[in-house]
Amino acid sequence: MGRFIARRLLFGVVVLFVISLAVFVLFFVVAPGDPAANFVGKSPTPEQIQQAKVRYGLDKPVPEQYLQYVGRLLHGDLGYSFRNAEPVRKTLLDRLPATASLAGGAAVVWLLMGIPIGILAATKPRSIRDRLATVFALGGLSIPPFVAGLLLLYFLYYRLSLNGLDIFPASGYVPLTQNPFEWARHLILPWFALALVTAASYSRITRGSLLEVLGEDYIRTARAKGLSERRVIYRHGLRSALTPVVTLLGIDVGTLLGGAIVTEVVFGLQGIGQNAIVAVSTGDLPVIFGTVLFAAFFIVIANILVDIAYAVLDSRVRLA
Amino acid sequence: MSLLEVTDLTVSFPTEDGVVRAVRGVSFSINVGQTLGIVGESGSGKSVSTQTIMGLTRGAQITGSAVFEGRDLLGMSQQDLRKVRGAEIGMIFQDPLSSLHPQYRVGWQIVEMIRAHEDVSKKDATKRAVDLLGLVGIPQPDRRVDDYPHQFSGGMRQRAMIAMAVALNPKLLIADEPTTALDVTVQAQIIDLMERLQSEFNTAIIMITHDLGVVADIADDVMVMYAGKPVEFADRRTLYYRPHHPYTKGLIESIPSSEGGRGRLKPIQGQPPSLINLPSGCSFHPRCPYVMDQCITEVPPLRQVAGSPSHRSACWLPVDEVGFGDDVEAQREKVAASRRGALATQESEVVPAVVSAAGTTAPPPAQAGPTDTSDNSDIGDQQ
Repeated sequence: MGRFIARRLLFGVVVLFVISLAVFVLFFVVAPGDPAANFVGKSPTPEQIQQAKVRYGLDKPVPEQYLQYVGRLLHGDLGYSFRNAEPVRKTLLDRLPATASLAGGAAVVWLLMGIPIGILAATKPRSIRDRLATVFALGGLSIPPFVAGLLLLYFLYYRLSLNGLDIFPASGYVPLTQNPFEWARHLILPWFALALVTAASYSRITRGSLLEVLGEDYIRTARAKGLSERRVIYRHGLRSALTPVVTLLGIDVGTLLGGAIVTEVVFGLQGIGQNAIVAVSTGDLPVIFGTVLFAAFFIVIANILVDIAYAVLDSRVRLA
Repeated sequence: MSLLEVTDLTVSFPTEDGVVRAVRGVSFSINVGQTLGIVGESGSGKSVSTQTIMGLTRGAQITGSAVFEGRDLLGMSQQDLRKVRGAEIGMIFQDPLSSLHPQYRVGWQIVEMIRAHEDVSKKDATKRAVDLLGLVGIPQPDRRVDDYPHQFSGGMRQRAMIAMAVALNPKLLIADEPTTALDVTVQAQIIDLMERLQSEFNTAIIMITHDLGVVADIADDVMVMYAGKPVEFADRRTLYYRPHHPYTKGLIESIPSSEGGRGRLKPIQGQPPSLINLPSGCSFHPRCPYVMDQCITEVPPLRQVAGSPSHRSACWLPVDEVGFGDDVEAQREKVAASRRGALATQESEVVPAVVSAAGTTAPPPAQAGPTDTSDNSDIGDQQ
């Protein structure tokens, strides 16, 4: 197990380097325009640009620039924002709690919605409730988060507030450590907006996976043992059926930690995704790099966790 | 009184292509401590019959009765049936790897079985699981009890399945092709084990198989099934030496023998019929070398066959001509020929001769009915 984790971490580092190289090439070599011009504000003089080039090492050959860039990365230095000269690392870490709260809470919501709906559908295939579950899934998958978000805002914020019921705030983020209740109150609408689509796909995956497992020989054995149907489905069926769900969960949460851009923007959450949108629209290269690497880091970690979870869930999987 | 008495059991599955008539009137009974062998090709309804009795067929239309110790299993509530399953009737299935849950320890699965029916502590149940594993011949049971099924060999897995099935000392054990997925050497060990347990606990066994060798080892009585119906009943010896039904004869003749290994095997020609679109009359007639007009128009009932009072066969051939031998064969051919009118002559042209000329290989004929060669290859083509 230890060796496996070490190897996967090493591999993850390699992946991050490949990504850093790709990002570097994309923005410094392929992208049109002089990167140095970004560092000096509007209508600079040629001297200023030259100064900036020397200062940021942009006068050196590209490979050397990359090595310097990687060298800084290794020290945890993601550079400074062009826009406000803040260290990128600090910005990202400051914004991580909001994004993590959004992603984690949404994951809980979509699991609590998706898995039970999938179970209900799978245990009575082709029944009314199976068809209703299909409608939910198709509906959920067809409504993009920004539409779901706006609908939620319209009904649960705007209409309720008109009637004097200020139950859900429209936007903002309160840190969990500051006030857990306010934290949850501010996040409920974004959680649901984000979770709806994912819950729909999780319900389909749970249904398909469970339906397949329930046809297995060992389910027949479980019934032949005289176990209750409940136990057959939950202890024997779900145990196997949830493995693909765990895989997806790891990757989905990992991806969301890199920023749930649309949801954060719709609900005005000061998270990583919203920050990334501002960075892209203002050409704030260091922030864009930082965000991409940050997101990639979470995905790599999520993948390792998924592999470990696999080994824990299924004794046949050997980690090597 | 018999332990289990099944009367007129029918099982059909409505599907989009039509109604699959998997079992079409099966009756049999089994006494305490006895072994009944049920033999037939894949799709003959032998597994469906027993699984229906246990309430394990879903979405099926069922008629008939299955009286176990005075109670009809088919009319029971799921709740009551659950108490019978496992505790009073144990089951063993074909493939022990897929029949054990891959993600739970073997011991855990046995403990679960015990604790589903008896109020015992986990510790005591585990102790019993260890004893059971020892009883079925698993070495170092106190250590192997914590293994996962994939850490067991095929034979050991089947032993573990048996340990689980007999954990609560059931009165009846239904073994659904328990040796099919195992090596030949291991098959014999598993059969030995079942016989030993049977004599120790006086358990009745229903042994479902397509392997007549297995039946020869263990069964007292044998029921041969074809296309959802029993075609012949007899005690083991009678069935082997004096079979009446052409299908039973075909099954016996397609066993490779270790003695006269020189001759060609005589596989049963053709394919099992579609259970949605069954042949008229005797459902074996499209494959039968003795086909007569009557076979195409009338369903043969089970009739008592000369020689043994318990021997019954569903075939229109004279009941006094049984067994093998050239004279019997000649007599049967003669009867068949004399009773073969226009209908059967036409029919028999698509049935190839039973004995193909030496040195030529009879290719499987293009026959009516759906072809699933992979499924019935275990009996037909052991060349």
